[in-house]
Amino acid sequence: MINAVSDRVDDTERTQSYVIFRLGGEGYALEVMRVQEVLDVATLTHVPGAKKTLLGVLNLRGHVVSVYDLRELFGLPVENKAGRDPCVLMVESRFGAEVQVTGLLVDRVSDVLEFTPEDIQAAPQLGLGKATPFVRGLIRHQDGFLLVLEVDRVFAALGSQAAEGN
Amino acid sequence: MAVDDRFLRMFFEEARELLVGLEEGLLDLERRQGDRAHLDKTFRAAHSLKGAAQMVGLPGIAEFTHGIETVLDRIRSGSLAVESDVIGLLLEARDHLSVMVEAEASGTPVGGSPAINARIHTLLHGPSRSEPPMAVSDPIATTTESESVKSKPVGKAKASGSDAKSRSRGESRKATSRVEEVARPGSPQNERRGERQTFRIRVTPGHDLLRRGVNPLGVLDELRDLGACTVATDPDLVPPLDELDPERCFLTWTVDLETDAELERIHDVFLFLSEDSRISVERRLQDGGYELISGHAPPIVELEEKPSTGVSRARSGASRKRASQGVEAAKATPDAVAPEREVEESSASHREKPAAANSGGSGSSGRPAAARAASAAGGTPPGGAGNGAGRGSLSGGNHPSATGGGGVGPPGSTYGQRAPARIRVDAAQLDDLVGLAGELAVLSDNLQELREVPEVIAWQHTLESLERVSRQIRDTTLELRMVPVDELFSRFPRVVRDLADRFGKEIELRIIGAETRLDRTIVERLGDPMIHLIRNAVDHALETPQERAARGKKEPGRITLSAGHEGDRVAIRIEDNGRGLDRERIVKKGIALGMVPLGTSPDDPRVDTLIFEAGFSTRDKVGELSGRGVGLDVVRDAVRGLRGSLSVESTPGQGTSFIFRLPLTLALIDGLLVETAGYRYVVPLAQVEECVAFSGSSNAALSKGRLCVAVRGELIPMVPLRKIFQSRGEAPARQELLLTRHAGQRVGVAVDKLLGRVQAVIQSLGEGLHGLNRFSGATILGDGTVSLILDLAALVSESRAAESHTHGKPGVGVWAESSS
Repeated sequence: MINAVSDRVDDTERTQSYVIFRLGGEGYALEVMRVQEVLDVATLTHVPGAKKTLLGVLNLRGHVVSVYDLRELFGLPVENKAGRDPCVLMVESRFGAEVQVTGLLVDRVSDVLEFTPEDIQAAPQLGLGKATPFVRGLIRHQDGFLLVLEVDRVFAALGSQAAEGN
Repeated sequence: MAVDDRFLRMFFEEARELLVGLEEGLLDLERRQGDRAHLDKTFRAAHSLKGAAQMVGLPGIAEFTHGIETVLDRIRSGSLAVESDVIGLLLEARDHLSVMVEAEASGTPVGGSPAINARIHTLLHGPSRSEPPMAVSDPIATTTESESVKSKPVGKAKASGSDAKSRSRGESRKATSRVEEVARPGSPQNERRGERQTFRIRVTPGHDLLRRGVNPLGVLDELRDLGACTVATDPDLVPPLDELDPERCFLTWTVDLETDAELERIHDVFLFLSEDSRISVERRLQDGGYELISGHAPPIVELEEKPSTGVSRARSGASRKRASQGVEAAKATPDAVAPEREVEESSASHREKPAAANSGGSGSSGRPAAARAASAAGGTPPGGAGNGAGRGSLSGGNHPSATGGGGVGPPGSTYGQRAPARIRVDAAQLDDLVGLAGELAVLSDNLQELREVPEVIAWQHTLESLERVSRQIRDTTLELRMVPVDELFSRFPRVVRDLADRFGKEIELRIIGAETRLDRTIVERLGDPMIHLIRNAVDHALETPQERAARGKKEPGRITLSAGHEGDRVAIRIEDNGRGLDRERIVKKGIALGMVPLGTSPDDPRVDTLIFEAGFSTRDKVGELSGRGVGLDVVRDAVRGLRGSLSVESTPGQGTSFIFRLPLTLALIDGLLVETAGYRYVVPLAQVEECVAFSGSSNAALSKGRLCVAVRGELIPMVPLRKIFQSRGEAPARQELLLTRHAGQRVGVAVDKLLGRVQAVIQSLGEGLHGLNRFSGATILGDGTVSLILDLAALVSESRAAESHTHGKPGVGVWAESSS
């Protein structure tokens, strides 16, 4: 329902804002509508026994929120700290009727930019490594490409992983 | 008309409540043999359900409910005795109704039960029949039309059923002449005609009526079932199209109902409207005037009493007469055929009565149409004054702004009543609120440290108040989650009744402390465990009346359910006065199953707890209800899942009590804060029997390949948390052992440090972490960091599973290992 409405708004307004973030040398774009806020990395509580992608849980104004490492999910080296100013994107996701907020750790949040639907090209079926299934399209920007993140697939992958336990 | 999902959902919610009420009422009815107050309540439940189903467009449910309602009505009128089989039938019908409602809710509708309908029919029309049911009318109206005045027959479709009955009663004739009488005010015969009376009912629904999903036409249909009706409405109350809010109800109705039904029946019709609608019922008097019986007098009457309107009493008397002529005129209106048309037609002709009667107009009448009609009937037209008054009071709407006119019903009268001040809230929102309130309390606790800072001394009082208020908020919100345990207990009279019937036992059920309040979730989840124990009591524990007599037990078999506080916990007991636990047999079985060492004495207190172990059952024969292999271990696990405990007390030959001990709330947890490998965890205090310090390797030993610690001479299996969590680094020399019980055995979980006690607000971990059983949730500590809540039972199972994996043997056995 909400999507239907926002789609219509998109059509009339033509543009949509995207949060641009860096991860492992690539630029990614994620709809601003989905991002509740961006936080600096605070103290995380480690959850022993959870998948490696789960960095831990943190207190977001009284709510316990899980924070996942996108580097881990995308098969990027975790230890490489160069050029990183890690931030946590608080992203809304829907589990059934419930809206849940999940944190995604990225290297750096750089910008918020507007694009029209025409700016987005189809994503290549391969060539992006482990990130391939999570990329919905490409946006030509400056002298490179931004990868448009299909964040619901990210959550689906994280959810199925965590459910397996160890 | 498409019915909004929201209304359907409201209906299902309401229907469930009504079904519970119906069941309770039926059981009460059986016990108290038709105590009037209960009877009415029960009848109303059925009636409300029928009406509600009609209004949301579920005729199947409405129709089936009608059968139940009819039987109850017979009981009410005294023509049907309250017998056990009648109640039994009604209970069965109620169950089927419940199935229908749930089926409808899940989108797979189920029809009525022809078998039950047939039995109800036999009951109603069998030998016990004495009075025809209350629905009369339609054929009478028909006769009326053909023989005297041309009034419009209403609800013809419904007439066939009651047709024969009313004829058999020889009422048709009377009715016919009666209508003629009605048309002639002041007729002396008026009052003598038995109970047949004419009522004028004014219905002024609240504007939100339609939004609540109520279909007012259903109410009119119901009135038509009671007798001949003439319905008038006032289309002028409806605002012009561009101002019209289609979801609001602007119409009011004036219904002249001629019926021999009791006044109460009329009131019942308005059950759904009563909340925010104004309904008045007036009885027509001999002189053609109307006497207010219930409800607020319509504003008309008020105006009449007000000298300022300039209407004299004499005038109103005269106009009353004209009004009644108007009735004739109305009835004479030819060819009012289509129902819509009928309403319109009579609205013009009928409306004149109130208007003429006081030449004023009011919230529910007055207005141009009325004026026109009045002049047509020969009355002095109220003219501009009337219109003005009409408009004026229209804006005044339904407010009881009435300044003390005569005949105004008492403010709290039948239909003016407000529902008790309760609102439904979304349970999830409530849980959020509880979480936030808990967080607020923690934050305020943190701030209290500021009181030590000299610079902040000025805010000392504010800080104190903050602490007090935030705690109150937390406690109050927690209280909101609590519901009386009665919501759980109220199911059991029926369960016990049915079970007792099936096993041929006579059982008395006593309920004590049903008002005790418990966490909503606990109350919801305790149902099945309790039913399990009650079934056991009926099936196994309680003797048949013959057996009891043979044993010299004078009292009847009894099950007592009681709830009450025990310290900071709530204890729920299920007590029977049956045979008690057969300890000899339990021990024998326990030895046979290898659960207890050979030669265990039946008096060993641990024998009782054997019955809670998985796979234990003394029954060799599988009973129909209990003893299907699903044993008390399931009950115990369910209670543990609620952070409670289950115990048993039993005296041979005298009875058994099962006792649940449960926390008051699940939102808060009393816990121990522990530390391992630099991280802090909360352990539910309820899971910890004892804490023992031990110094690392010196006390640890291997027993049968398992790490054990000697505690006061007993070797206790140890589960090191560091190992499960695969923590790096060395454990400190001195560790703490949290002793818990797992499958009847004491097990210790080793942690680095004990930090203290905490009261924590539990939050569930995110969706993605549900597979991780070792944590039952998370909580936010005073310093704002998140701490995970450990589930010791899951941790121990986990480590057992891992061990049996490596050692290739299952970790079964209850005492054998620990005592060796």
